[in-house]
Amino acid sequence: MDYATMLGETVTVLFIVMCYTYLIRETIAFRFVQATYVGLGIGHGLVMVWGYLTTKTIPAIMAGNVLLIFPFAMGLLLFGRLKKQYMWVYRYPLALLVGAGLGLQIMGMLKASLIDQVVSTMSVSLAPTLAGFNSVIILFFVIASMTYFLFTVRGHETSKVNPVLGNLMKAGQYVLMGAIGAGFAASFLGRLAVFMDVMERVVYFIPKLLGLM
Amino acid sequence: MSNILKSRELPIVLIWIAVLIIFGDYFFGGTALRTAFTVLTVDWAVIITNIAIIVGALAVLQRSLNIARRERTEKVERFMQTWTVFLAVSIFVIGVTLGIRSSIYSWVYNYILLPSWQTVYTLIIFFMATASYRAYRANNSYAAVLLISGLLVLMRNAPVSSSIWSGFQDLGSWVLDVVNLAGTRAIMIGAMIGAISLLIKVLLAKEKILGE
Amino acid sequence: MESDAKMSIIQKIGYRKMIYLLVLVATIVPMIYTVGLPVVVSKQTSDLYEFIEKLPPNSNVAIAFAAYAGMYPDAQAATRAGLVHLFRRPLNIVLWHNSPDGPMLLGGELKYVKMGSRIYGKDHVILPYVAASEATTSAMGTNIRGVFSVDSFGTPLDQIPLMKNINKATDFSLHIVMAAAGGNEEWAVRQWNIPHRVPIGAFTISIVYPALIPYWRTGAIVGMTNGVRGGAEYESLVGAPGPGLRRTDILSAVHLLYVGLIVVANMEMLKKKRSEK
Repeated sequence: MDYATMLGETVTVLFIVMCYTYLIRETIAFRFVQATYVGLGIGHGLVMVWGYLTTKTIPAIMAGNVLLIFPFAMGLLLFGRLKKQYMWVYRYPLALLVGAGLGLQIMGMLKASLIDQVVSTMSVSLAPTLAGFNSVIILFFVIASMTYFLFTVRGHETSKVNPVLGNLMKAGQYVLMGAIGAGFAASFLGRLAVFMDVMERVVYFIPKLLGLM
Repeated sequence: MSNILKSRELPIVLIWIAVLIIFGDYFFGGTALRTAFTVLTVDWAVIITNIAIIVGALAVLQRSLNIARRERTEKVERFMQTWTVFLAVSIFVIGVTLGIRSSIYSWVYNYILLPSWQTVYTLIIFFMATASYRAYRANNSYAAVLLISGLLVLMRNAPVSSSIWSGFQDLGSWVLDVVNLAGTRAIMIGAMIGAISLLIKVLLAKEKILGE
Repeated sequence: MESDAKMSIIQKIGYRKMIYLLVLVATIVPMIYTVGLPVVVSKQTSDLYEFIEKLPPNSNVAIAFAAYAGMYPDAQAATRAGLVHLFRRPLNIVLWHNSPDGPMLLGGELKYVKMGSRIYGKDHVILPYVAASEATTSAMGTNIRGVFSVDSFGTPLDQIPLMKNINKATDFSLHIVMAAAGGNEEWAVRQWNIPHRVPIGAFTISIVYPALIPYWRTGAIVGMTNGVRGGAEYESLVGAPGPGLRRTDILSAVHLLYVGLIVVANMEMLKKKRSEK
């Protein structure tokens, strides 16, 4: 292992250990690691975006595509965000981004999140198979969850006011709890995966230094 | 003139223009609208998005500098904020002058930034473990359903579960493909309705979305 | 007396630190003593594998590499196996970066890919980084040359043979989103699949996975992997063992620990409720 790699692996393990001191309490070591990665992350992001602008946008403008000056100038108005008295300037490019973003999102969502989802929900199969059973269950669950979102019935949990709607809303709540439970398990898997990678760096550090790996 | 430029209405007009171009191209098509759509997304939105990232980064650095300059900031905090700004500027200079493929840039990225970021992300694993013991209690039927579905999906994600009982895979997949699907679909449809109502409110200037 | 001594050890250390220790043991022990547990392949993963496997030769595949350093290990196994699979098949690949960390991370993955007779520029191209957003994704589907003028090595796109006939979404048979931290897959569905009918594949992180199942059900997403677990599944399908299969033991141990903690805690709660009654 060359010296740069050896030093790098040592610094890595040091930073990892310093970061995990947070498990005892918020220490200066943890705050140092936090400040380091925030600073480096910001710098790295700036480098990448700078790279894009200097390899695409600015050369295109210099090569004669003068129309690009307008979006570039509009983008520069965003810097008004940094000074309170010029805050009004930054609303213009933001308005374009908001308009474009919302418009594109809704255009796509109309089919992807609404029409396709409703069609798929309504595609019920009454075949005596697991797929058929599941399709009926999904239809009921989606209607129940939507009922919970769209309607407000006072005292729905006791179902005294409107038994049918109240029970449907209760069922919807259970379905949403189920979905949230699945989401919790998924988020756990994600964090665990990164944790395994971090721990491998620590556990294999000494064998790597000794040239055993 | 400056009052007109500072008004809330002019930016809303820009939102209208952007939305009309996109909706017009989607519903009516035609060369003119297609060209306008392409110019809006390919040229304007991409360039402005990239510059927005620079502004966002500078805003964070500005905040750090302001905190460091304040008199009542404690010494350690002052050092940390200054260190953040120093690192950001240094790595930017190194990246722009030497390039991201240079050995020093790669070294800093692979041995400092990457492990620090990942380690901070994993801290929550320990807190989730203590929460599993202390907080994840089925105090009522709703919490019980949440826990049962979470447990089934946890068991599905554990490779050993198929060796213990094959039903864990099937049950966990059923929770994901039926219960989670239904809940997520309802949320999606609700979000769709919410997005349309947000768009209408923004277009009618009823929503203060531009930081007014 | 004995139980008093036992309890005082736990009380001395504190239940919190005991649990931290258990987490460390459950992670480190399987790291050292590996068994190599097999993994059952889910339908979503096999769908993605089958789709890529059945793509006709010389099909164009677009890859949006959207890895964020903090979460990347979750999707690393699937990403690596996916790249191995895609480069093994006779497909034309156009890859671009949708995250600032992508250019730093991709090199490490391509080391595991056997290029064979592939020639850069003829059957695969790597484009640079562009800030990700719904508008950028739409722009890439409309006019790639409007977003990029050169590849990541500075060569103008017009001088790259592969890019001669490729400029928009409809030139591709499949669009894959790799290692995205959330949002990119939905943007791809809304801006590539809905308007241009390009199928979407996702090698995704596990946090995003449940939210993408409705899209898989409707066919917008042809298949997807579920974090590191999905990575292990895809590695077993491709026959390229890597970080996913290596970590199945740790996955199992820590998951069982968490399930055990939840079950023990709830059994204690039920016991307490019964004794109170």
